[in-house]
Amino acid sequence: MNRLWKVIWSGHSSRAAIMFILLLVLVGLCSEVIAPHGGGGLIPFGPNEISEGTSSFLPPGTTEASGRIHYLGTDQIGRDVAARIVHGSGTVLQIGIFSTLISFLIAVLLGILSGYFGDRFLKVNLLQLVAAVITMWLGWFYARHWSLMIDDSGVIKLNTWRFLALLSAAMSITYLVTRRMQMTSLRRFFVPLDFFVLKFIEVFKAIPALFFILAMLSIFSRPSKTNVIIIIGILGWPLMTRLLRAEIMNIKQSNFVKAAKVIGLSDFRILMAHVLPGALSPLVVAFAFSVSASILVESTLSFLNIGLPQNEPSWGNVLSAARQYLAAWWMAVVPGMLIFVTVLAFNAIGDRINGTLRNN
Amino acid sequence: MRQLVLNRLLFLVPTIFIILCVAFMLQQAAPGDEVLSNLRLDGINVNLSQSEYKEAYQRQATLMNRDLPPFYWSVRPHYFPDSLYRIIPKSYRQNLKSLTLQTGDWQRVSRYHETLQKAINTGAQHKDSLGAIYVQLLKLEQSSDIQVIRNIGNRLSNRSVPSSTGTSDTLGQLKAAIDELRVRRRWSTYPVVSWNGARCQFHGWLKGLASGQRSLVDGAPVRMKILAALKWTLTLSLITLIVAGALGLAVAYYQTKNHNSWSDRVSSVIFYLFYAVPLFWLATMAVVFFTTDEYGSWTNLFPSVGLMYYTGEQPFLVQLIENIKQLILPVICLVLHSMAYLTRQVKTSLLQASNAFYTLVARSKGLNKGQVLRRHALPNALLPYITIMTAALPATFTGSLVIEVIFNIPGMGKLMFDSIRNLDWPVTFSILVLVGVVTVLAYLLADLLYVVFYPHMTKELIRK
Repeated sequence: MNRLWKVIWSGHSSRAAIMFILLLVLVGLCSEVIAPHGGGGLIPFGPNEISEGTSSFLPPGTTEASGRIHYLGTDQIGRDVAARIVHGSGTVLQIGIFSTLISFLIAVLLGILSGYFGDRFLKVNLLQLVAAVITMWLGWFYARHWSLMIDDSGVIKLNTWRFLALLSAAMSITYLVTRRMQMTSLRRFFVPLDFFVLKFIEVFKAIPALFFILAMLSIFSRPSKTNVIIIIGILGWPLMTRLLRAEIMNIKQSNFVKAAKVIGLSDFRILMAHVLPGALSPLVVAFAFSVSASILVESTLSFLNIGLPQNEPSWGNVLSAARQYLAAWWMAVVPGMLIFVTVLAFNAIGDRINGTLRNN
Repeated sequence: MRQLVLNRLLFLVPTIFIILCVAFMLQQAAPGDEVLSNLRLDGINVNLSQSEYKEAYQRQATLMNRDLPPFYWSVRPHYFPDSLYRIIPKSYRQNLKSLTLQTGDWQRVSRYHETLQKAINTGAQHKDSLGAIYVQLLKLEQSSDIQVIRNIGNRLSNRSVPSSTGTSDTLGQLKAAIDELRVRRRWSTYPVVSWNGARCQFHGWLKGLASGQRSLVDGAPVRMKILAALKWTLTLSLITLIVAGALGLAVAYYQTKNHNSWSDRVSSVIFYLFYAVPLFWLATMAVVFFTTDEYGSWTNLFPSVGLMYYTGEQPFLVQLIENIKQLILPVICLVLHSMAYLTRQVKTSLLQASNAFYTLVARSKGLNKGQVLRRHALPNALLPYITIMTAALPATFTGSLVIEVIFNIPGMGKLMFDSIRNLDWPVTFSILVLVGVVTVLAYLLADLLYVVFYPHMTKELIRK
């Protein structure tokens, strides 16, 4: 970690990038101080405050009758652009980082499954396979049946947490059941875990990204910050999984992993203590690129007015209104520039680590 | 080679089947009632009485296979009936399902269902004399909360029903059936599997995909809508793909040839920046600054956005020629954006190849830098080029939503966007299936190209 930090800090562009990101974090944390919702901070307007009078599309630097200045002008319904941008910086970082964490979690699990364990790990006989399929199917059925809830108005709802808990219980039972069935008389064959994960990625990639987002947003939920984070997070895992899989496969070939196996460490221990730390640098690279990609997706969604709701200020939200009134250049230039620079910053960090990795 | 193709084709079928299943499941979960939208398209909701409307709804639902089970097989808890899917409309079916789950007793729920339907049917004939009671009966159909149903039941018995209508018997039965409904969740159960065969909604849906459905917005055939949009999108994205592909390769070649020169550095930085620019911002800036007189007349280089002569009646070629000016700016944006990534990747791979030993050998036998790059490095560095170009193929069918929205081009992206917003599910999911199939085929094409250009990869690809 220390070495990684040194690498980032020693590059000119990546040092600037880190400083820019820290500044964004600071602004995001202090947004309530800089531009409080009630107005009267450093920027004298709240992010959702609509100025009085004919105040839409005021150019930057306009002074209101009350003596307050719109530093970056106003938008189509007279809200202060500067205040919205300040509050948007927190939103952008939250969405970028949390959605990446979600795809990260999925990618680490699947990447370990396909990269470390792979096609030649799980060996079963026919009896075990049939038993596993039946128990998992039964587990699915009972998990579903036992987590169907009736809400106050009599509508059937699936309790997701209960469902997941019951499903994992079913998995454990499947494991316990099949463990006893290692008959010597039956031929055993490998279950191609790696193959399954790759096919899963292939099918998932066949659904166009924007379609997926649109369908999810219109079918399952109302657009809110949490939902957008979850959806973007789910969208990002295939790329990360592929990267992690390749990386883990490489590390698995190395001598220190072989040595760890020889002295009899458990798979879990090898993964935690040797494989994952070895993949740290590429993980950080993937993380940085994924954050920038998530920020791009979010701003595109908000730009199309299908992402965050209007009262949740984000840079894409501000930008989308610039399309309606082409003379309002301040609404196109400033938030767009910020998105651009943020994406550039995360890319620069990724590239810096990538470059030093390749040179070593 | 043949083994690889067979292997891939073998997995093509299940992959496409899974994509179809996913599309079908999403369409089942989508909000809105397609039966209702179809009725509205036929203009049926206007002057119909309640019972006539119900009948029309039933007819339409049967026509759309809504009275069939969803999939080839179904799994249910043992105390659920095997014919619940026949009950239409869906909301009422959901209510009965909820009641069965709450009471754990289909016998009582079905008795309630039958007496309720009987009461509504007889009630409809004596609507005027029943008045408020009839409204209460209709309200029962909407509810799945046992407490609410009880309350309505109590109110029914309290009211004096005009005896001349002969409905008091039915209402009494209904009251009795309601009183029997008791909340008792059944936690212990076992699954029952029933095989439905080809008489299921999924099968009908597959047939519909092939033979054609109609849009829920304007009743136009889905195929026509998709074809009309596909023309624009394919034109736009094929131009982009060819221009960006050729330019990207040329620029990468030029940069590598003059590696670390002044022009290489400047162009690399420019493409690095273009790689990070959000496409929608690039397009918005282009529209804001280059299509209006606001910032001086010299910046008004391009016509305003939108296809001016788009009527949909002239032949496509005529429309294309008349609108060619409108397409310049979107194509420039798309080319710049897709070139940035392509150039970077190809350049990296070319640089790697030009540091390899075989390039050194080629140099030492007297070839000049350009010859070495063209004859030895380039053929070996084409792998990322193939990957990126084939991965871009599905996108030529979906188009770029952002560009189409900003420049107002009636292409696939916009069609998809609009149909999702209008809950026009037949169009939406037809597009999904189309794009899914194209994506899978693009993977196949990529594998074939790998094998053609890099035969030594065949074994590895088969194992993958």
